[in-house]
Amino acid sequence: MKKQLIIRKFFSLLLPIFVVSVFSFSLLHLIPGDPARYILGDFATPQQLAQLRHQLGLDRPLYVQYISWMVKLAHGDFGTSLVANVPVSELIKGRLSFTLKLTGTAWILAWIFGISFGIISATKKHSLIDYGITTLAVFFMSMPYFWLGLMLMLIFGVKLGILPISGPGTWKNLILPAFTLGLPQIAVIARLTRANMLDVLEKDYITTAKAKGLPDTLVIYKHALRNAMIPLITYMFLQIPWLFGGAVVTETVFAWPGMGSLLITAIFQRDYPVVQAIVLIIGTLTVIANFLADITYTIIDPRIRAMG
Amino acid sequence: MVESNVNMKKVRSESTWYLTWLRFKRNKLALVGLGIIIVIVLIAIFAPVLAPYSPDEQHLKDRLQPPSSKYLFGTDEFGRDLFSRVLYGSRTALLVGIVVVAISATIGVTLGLISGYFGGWVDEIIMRTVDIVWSFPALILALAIVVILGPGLINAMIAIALVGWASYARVVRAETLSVKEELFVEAARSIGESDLRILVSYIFPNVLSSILVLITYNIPSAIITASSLSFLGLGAQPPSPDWGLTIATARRYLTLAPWYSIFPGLAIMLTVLGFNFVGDGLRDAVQPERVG
Amino acid sequence: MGVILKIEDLYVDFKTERGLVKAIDGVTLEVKEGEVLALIGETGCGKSTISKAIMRLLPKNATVRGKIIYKGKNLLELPESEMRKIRGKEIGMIFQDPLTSLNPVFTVSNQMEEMFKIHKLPTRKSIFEEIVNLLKIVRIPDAESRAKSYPFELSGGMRQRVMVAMMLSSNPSLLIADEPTTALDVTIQAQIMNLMLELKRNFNTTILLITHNPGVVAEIADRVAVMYAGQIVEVAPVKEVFDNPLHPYTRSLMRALPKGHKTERELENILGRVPNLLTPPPGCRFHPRCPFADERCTGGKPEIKEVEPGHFVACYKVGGTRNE
Repeated sequence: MKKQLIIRKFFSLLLPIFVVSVFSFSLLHLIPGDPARYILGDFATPQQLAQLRHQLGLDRPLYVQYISWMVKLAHGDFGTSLVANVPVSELIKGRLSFTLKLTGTAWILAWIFGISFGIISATKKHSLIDYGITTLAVFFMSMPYFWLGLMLMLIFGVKLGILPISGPGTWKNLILPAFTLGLPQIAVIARLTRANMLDVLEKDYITTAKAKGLPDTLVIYKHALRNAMIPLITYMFLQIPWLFGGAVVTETVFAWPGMGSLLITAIFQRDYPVVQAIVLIIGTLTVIANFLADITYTIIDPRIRAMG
Repeated sequence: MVESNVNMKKVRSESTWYLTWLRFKRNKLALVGLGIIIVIVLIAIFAPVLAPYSPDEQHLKDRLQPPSSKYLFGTDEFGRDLFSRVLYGSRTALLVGIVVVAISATIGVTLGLISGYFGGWVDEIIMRTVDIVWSFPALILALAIVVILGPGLINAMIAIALVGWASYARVVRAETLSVKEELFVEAARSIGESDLRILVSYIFPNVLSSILVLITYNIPSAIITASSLSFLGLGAQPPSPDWGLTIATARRYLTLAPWYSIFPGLAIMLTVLGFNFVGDGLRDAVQPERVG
Repeated sequence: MGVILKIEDLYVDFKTERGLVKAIDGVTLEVKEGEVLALIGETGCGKSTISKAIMRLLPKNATVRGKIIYKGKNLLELPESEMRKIRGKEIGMIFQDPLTSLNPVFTVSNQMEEMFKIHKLPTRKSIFEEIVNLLKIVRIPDAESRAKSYPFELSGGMRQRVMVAMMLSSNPSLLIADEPTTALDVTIQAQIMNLMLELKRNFNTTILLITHNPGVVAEIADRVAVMYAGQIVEVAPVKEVFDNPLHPYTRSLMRALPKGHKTERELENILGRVPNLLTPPPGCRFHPRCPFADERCTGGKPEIKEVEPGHFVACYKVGGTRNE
């Protein structure tokens, strides 16, 4: 693949990252009225207000504030939490691994089960199992995460009592949140896989593969699946930011100490440096996921790879 | 001659609508979905007639009662009738759907038409913004906007609308690009129609079917995001019978009163399911070549 | 010459939303060892359905009745695992559109390699060298690098050569070529046809050529079977079909060919509408378009019978009481 293409695409990252940084930066400044008073409430003394304004740098011109914010960011300094009074970076560091564990597990579950169900559904088109999978898929896609989480909790935690219902702990504590986050994604991927497989199975080259005497497994898993996966590859990455979005609700439901539940706490405590940092992280992640989707798509499809 | 060409196109698009309806009608799930939506709209309109109690009426002696003939869905911690509250909750859900769609479709369609019709740097700027907004997780972007605007149902709706316009812009732009090359647009331009008139009366009617499909998908996703914000405490505020908010409270009584969480959630699911069925049916009916 | 493939009383129906399509209606046909038999007919007459029925590659909504006997075995009764050993190994198949019949995401050698691995073909050298050798046989220049190419990097003619090479790798006894040149332009068409002729001579491969192009037939076929609306109407040596066509349909086909320019003209749309196979006309399916039809033709289906040695016709008006 052409190096220039990657370099060009890499530079196209800069603008969206700039936009994301400006957006996160302005979260504090777009608050109507005085942010310091909004954060501290109506009973704050003038000294307290002045001190907070100084701490947040609100007493300096906007562009200076932005540049100094960015310079600090470049050094890994996300500011200081107004509530916990510790560096935001440390606060997030402790939470990030939990979020990654949750989203990572959900991501793996989504692809393993999603693709499998999609293939089963497509190869047994219009069978009872196909109808079962497609119907369940629509149901799971129609549930909000928080309710799905509560229902799983109710069934497996409360009624059957086989899984812990909240908090961190052993790997068992991860099962319910991971499935809460994963099930709707399994449904989406199964539907996409099914549709793409059905599309590909009609192609002439599949008839060729069968005419060559290849067994069904090779026809389906090599010739059809590879082609059916190409449009799905972008989704592998595009889905990551959405998983982080879902994690906010899921973590709150299961009291999972990740970045998402931190974000919600920070919003209620008006802890702006923390909110800004998390929005910035997820925003940057979104931009990078888009970039990776674009690049991988180029790598995986020889036709596009050649066009460069 | 040119006029008659233009008119022919318009007539044809009317019969296209009829054909779309015929194809839609054949899809059983889509009809089920349509049925669900109609029932929910009727419930929202006639909630005062259908509800056995006022949604705010407290029966302090009957707190957290399981479902019975007196309280079909049971009661909450104030002894309020959950059946009545779930019925009233449909009003919030549909309000969210309508308001969000109205705002995001207006913004998205306008920007999409402009982007596709004029092209150039305007297109570039709009589409770059769309790329970012579109791929950003909707809930987090909405959360960030709620942080600025403050919590509350109206602010939540505005936030969701400010996230949702991107998919309209993207689709409308793509369709505009192809429609503007068609002969009847050329013809309109050659008889000196203004850009605005061409956009409004020639291009817009031809992208309408895609917009309709987007709307039927946008409504359920708006309802889900809004209920999530309410669940997190940043959307509808007590004593609203909003489904998401109800579940947020019900969560505390999950072991004691599971019905409290189950029914409002079922209501959300059914509503969303109805719109998704209609959306799928409409998509297949509008683009028949995609049906596999 | 022995008979390598015998189709007996074959019926194929497709269940569709609009009803049952009776695509093949009682076809009986023999393919002799070492010959090129051309199956000719208009688009939609069912010739491709026959080829797919032989390979058992029809979609699930098709029901097949009758017998397809290949080297003494009825293919329609073979278990799927046995059938897979026939496909590609015993019977090769080349398709109409070389642009879509190779998998876009695998290289040429990767797709050809499968034949060697699945059918455990004997190799004297490495599989890759065998592949390069095969590509050389079908006259692909720069075969080593072409083997490593993806299909989209090759022209249509090149891709059809790859298909031929691939199907040739197992040295099949029967090659079904389903409109192998239709999607190619005229000069490439001739090259591919010559290539197939050459292969037939060198490898003694039997070829069932399916086409709607009488020009192609004249160039390459030994015998011709004419198909109309799911039925075989005439089978004869190639010279007979062109010089002495007996069935009214064949005759109108041949009349439609301008003299001396047989290669260029195609049959489509010459004769008006092909009948709707949802509700095919009763009796002889050609009778609504036949100038000689009488009440007998609308009654029962005419049996195919040998009217002259090696010349079979299914028509009440031909044989015994030849009029005109």
